[in-house]
Amino acid sequence: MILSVTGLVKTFGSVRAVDGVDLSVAAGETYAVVGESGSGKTTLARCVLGLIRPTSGSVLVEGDDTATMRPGDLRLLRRRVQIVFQNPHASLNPRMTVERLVAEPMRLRTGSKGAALRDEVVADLDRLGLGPAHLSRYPHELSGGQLQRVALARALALRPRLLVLDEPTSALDVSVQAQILNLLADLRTHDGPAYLLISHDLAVVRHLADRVGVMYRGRLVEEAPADRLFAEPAHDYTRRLLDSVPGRGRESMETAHGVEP
Amino acid sequence: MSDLLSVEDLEVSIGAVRPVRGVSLRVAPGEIVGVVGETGCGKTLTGLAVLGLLPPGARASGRVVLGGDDVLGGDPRAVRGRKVTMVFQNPGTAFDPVTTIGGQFARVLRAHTGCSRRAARARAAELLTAVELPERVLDNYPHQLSGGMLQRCMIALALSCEPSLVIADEATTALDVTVARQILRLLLRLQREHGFGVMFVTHNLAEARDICDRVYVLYAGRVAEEGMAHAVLDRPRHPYTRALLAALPRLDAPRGRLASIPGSVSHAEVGCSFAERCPDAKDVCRAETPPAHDGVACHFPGGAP
Amino acid sequence: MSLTSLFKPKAVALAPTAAAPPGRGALRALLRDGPAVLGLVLVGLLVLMAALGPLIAPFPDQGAGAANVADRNLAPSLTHLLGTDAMGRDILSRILYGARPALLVSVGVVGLAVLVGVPLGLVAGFRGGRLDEAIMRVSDMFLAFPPLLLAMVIVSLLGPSLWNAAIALVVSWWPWYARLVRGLAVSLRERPFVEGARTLGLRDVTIMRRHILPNCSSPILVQATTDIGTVLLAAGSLAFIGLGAQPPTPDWGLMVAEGRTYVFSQWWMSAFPGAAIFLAVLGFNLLGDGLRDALDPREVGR
Repeated sequence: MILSVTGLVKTFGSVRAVDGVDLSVAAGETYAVVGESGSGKTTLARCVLGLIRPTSGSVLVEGDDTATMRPGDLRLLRRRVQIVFQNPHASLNPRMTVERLVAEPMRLRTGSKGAALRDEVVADLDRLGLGPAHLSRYPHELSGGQLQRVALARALALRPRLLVLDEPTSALDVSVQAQILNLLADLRTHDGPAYLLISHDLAVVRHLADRVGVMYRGRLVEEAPADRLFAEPAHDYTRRLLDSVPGRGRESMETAHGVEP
Repeated sequence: MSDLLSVEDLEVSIGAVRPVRGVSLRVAPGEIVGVVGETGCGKTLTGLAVLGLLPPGARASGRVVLGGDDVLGGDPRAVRGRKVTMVFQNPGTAFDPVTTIGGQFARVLRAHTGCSRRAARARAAELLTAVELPERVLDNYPHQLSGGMLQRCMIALALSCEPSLVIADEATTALDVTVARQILRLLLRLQREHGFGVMFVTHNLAEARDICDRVYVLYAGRVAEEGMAHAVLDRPRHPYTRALLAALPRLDAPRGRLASIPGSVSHAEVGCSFAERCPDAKDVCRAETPPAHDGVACHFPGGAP
Repeated sequence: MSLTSLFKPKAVALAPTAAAPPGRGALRALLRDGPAVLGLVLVGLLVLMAALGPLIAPFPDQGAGAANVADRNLAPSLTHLLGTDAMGRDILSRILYGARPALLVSVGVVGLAVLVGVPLGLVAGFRGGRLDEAIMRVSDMFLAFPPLLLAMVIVSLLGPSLWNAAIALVVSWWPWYARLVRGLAVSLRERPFVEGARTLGLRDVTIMRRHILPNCSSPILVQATTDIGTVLLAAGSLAFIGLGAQPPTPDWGLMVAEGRTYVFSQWWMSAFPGAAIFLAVLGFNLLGDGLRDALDPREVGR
């Protein structure tokens, strides 16, 4: 297993943001955590990334427990788990050029310098569909789709074993979202990382995920292979989520499913 | 039936840029009309022009007639609030954080009707009931309410002046799916009860499909395609609409590659704005701006011959 | 304006920019802003005076402090454009000689305050927790001490001089930078790009230097520019009350003080050095305001 989360609890004051979550992600797998704001999915992701310490429970990355590690080792462990955030405008340092943004993690992995480092950066950007003309650009000079490619390049430069995708396309236009989703699907094929996809967009989840966990009020209320979850949702909340997906016409608005839990 | 809103050949320019380049649309009384498109297509500026709320530095030409009054030529303050109100994307920032919801309702109601404090509170409670919120919300401050509740409050405020047209600009974009669904249902129900027209500005084709009678698909500041919502979104004729729908991941479609649209938006002065990205583009597409014919601004609607 | 309020940085509302690096666009915006250009001109003049003052002063020896009893209390004339003081020294030469220490002290004080305050603020804001508490309580302590009193204590320990006054000013000035930068760092700490840097496994020092500090640079620059003027005024005030520069140093504040007994008969003795202080402070304030507008992230990259 790339990632094993066991009995994870994270409380903020009296609020149990994550309330006993178990999940695991295998190599090459895409696991989607679906939930709405306040469901705890973001807190879960932050625990997995080691940005916050869980109150109890464990997060194992390739069998190594983040909770018992010394800070120095934890720093190195973190490099095996990377993240792409929702809003690429906020997730890239506005004062750095594309080249510096990608070179920063690249150098940590390869130790290259100068021209060799630059070549590695160019090669990775090329793989993600960005030409060398973009190297000297600053984030504000790029479109949302281009920025998200830079964010991906930055995250993948360390060749992580797990990539957390936190609503990776919800700030993008539909046509750009399609490009990024295709890119994510392509990257999965050649020896890429496993994905932990955090999303509230069920269509995106359906498109990308192998397995899905539905999170509600800090707990995973349902977990199933994607095909089965979308065909036969077992939990009430899952059904309510599926009913809320728009696009089935005016008639779907009339059926009264809008009852609060 | 005469139009509630009629926009003819609206152009908006900001400096040398022309984000809106000749948009014509109309909304009949009691009709829900979608204005859909991606970032930068001009949909938000079109909505603001109808309200007479264009940002400073923006110049508009063309005609915007709302219930018989010319918005662009006349005094927008007379129109705003009385006949047309707007529901914004981010309800969190639309409310004054240090005044209770009740206080904010009282301010608006008393400014509009000059009624007493007590009457204002009674009316505010009534409006909250209409949007399925309890009266106690009046004593809450904005930060105590969820995004969905705030959006309901905003809709209630919009109702307070008995508008004939409500402009909803990405009204559900910041909300969770289940909450967004509830807000759409609420909007639909209120529209039926009060009979106002709705201009539903959104990037979300699926939502437009669910709630709109008719839709206008905007691309690069022009209307690419218009028609009945189900017709346009189920049987698109403009290549842009087709590409957009093909790019959308769907629950009911098999997983596979999504069709993405190559290139980026161009604002070419000559020819069809979509020509550079269009798989079916011919020479004529780059030479002549296609006229709108039968609701489609395309030289080869429905595909190349 | 009370004397105490001279010893505080002028409040300039500042948010972390997290914007593109200010480039030519910011410079162009600055040069389009009339008052800012005036500020730039005034500051430029001051720098010129500081650089060339001793070379262009008509009476260099008097500028440096040599008395010339024969020409006491002369009104402005063609020989002495701004008149002479009670010791017969040419006031223009004194003002030209005074520009260099005035500028050195104010730039030096602000520079040291930035050097001390910024790293402490960065660490406090980024790390948070007890370290933050400790740094902030210490800086509060310095802020709670009346700066004038602090200056008097330091000066009475070390003796009155321009440099000891400068030390007193640094001691009471750095906490403002610590507070400014701490606030910026706190709001940047939670930004996705900083969290992203943490997931790269970078050391805290690297994150602070590479990701936080560059995004604080505009507010620091704006505050420092404005503060140079304020410090210049405060140093002048210390000299005026006898706690700063000592005679015969050519110090503008000291000159105002020396001339104050003659203010009704020989007005030029106080008025011209006073005007020099006024114009220098005005210059830095206008330039600071202009920089703030020019570096405003909402204007950059559009």
